[in-house]
Amino acid sequence: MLITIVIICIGLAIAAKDLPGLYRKHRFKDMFVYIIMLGLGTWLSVLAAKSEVTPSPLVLIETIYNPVNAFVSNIFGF
Amino acid sequence: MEEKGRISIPNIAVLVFLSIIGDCVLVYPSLITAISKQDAWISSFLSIPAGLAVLLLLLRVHQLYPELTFIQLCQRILGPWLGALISIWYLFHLMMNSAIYLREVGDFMNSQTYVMTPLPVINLLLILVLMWGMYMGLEPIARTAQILFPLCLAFALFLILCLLPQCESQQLKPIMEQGIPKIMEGSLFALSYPFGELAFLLMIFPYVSKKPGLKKSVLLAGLTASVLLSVLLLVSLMVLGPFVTEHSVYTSYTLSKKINIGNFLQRVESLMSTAWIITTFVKTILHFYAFTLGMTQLLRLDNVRTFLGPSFMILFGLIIVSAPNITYYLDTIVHAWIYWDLTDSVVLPLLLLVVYKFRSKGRHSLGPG
Repeated sequence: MLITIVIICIGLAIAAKDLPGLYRKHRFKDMFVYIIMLGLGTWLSVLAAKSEVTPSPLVLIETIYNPVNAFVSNIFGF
Repeated sequence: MEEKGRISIPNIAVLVFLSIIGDCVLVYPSLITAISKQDAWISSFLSIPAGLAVLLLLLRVHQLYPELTFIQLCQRILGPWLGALISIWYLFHLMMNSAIYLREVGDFMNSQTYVMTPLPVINLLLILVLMWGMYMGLEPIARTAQILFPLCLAFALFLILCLLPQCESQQLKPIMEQGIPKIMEGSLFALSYPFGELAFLLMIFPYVSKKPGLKKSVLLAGLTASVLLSVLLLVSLMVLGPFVTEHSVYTSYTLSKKINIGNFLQRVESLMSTAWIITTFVKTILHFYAFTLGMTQLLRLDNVRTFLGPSFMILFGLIIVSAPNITYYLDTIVHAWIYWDLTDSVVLPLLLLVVYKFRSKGRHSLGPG
């Protein structure tokens, strides 16, 4: 629980450093992207710091390329 | 956002060299040997011409519009929608690659040197150095790589030279026992691991200052680096034998423990691992640099430095999340991973090249770069 709070505080600190500059320059699209990325980053960092076992994003790669691998292996007889 | 720094021709040669041997030098021998056993050195040497062809293809695509990065090339040649789709795919590849490299270094340190330290702490140390380099920009990264390059080269040559007395060619027999298909599969891996991950070069090439001589020096760097890797594989096969090479995860580390000259020159493995961490670090920082630059260009953001903070938080999380354990990325995913690498470094540049040829012939002609 402590580590979650620490990571969220770090995320808020990073946001406090960068967001006012973007707001002053009226770059609202940049702010939107920034907040989405920071939210994703905080979530992933909390998962990482608690070392929970989560499904990897590489499952996508396995789903796409395992049939390719099977096909090529069949053709060349690996 | 535009990158102000320009890197010179020797710098890009050094970067190509370090990013070919980086991270492969640790796991390459055991990966190839797991497939083609004692013929792994044949696979490795066979893959060199194909790897140089991949480099030539990347250089050819770069010459279509020498000023544009891969993301801008996609937007210009394929149009906004298909271009954006392919750019997202490419950025995902860069991001996952940099996470996996840092994970490899972290696991290596965690299992060999800092056994009691938790993995996220080692990752945090690596990320802090990465952050420092990224805030500096491309030019300081390239110059740092050039300063550290002689160290890496000297350590690699030292390793090979000190192990020459222990080489036994008997370990390589029987030659071709596995048959041709296994050797071909091994060389597919040997092609994909060092060369298939060079797709990030298309994001770096536009910032090379003087263009003449680019092709020659990049190809020369690729040739020397891949010959070095193959010789390392050959030495590890002859010293350790195919069985130990296959089953020790960090073969080069095991090899450097074998150095013993007159009971005097020994225990140099920490120096060796320093050199390999440097090479992997250069490869990772280039991948991550290409990722942030590409993201800025894809979303047309203002300044890349503003977005470094969230990017590092995502990277810190992805290092742990991307793989549940070491077996996953060294054994489970590798068969899918090689085709992923080859898609990004061969299929996508070929697609760009073919579409460019068709469009420049047809009525929808493209403007000059």
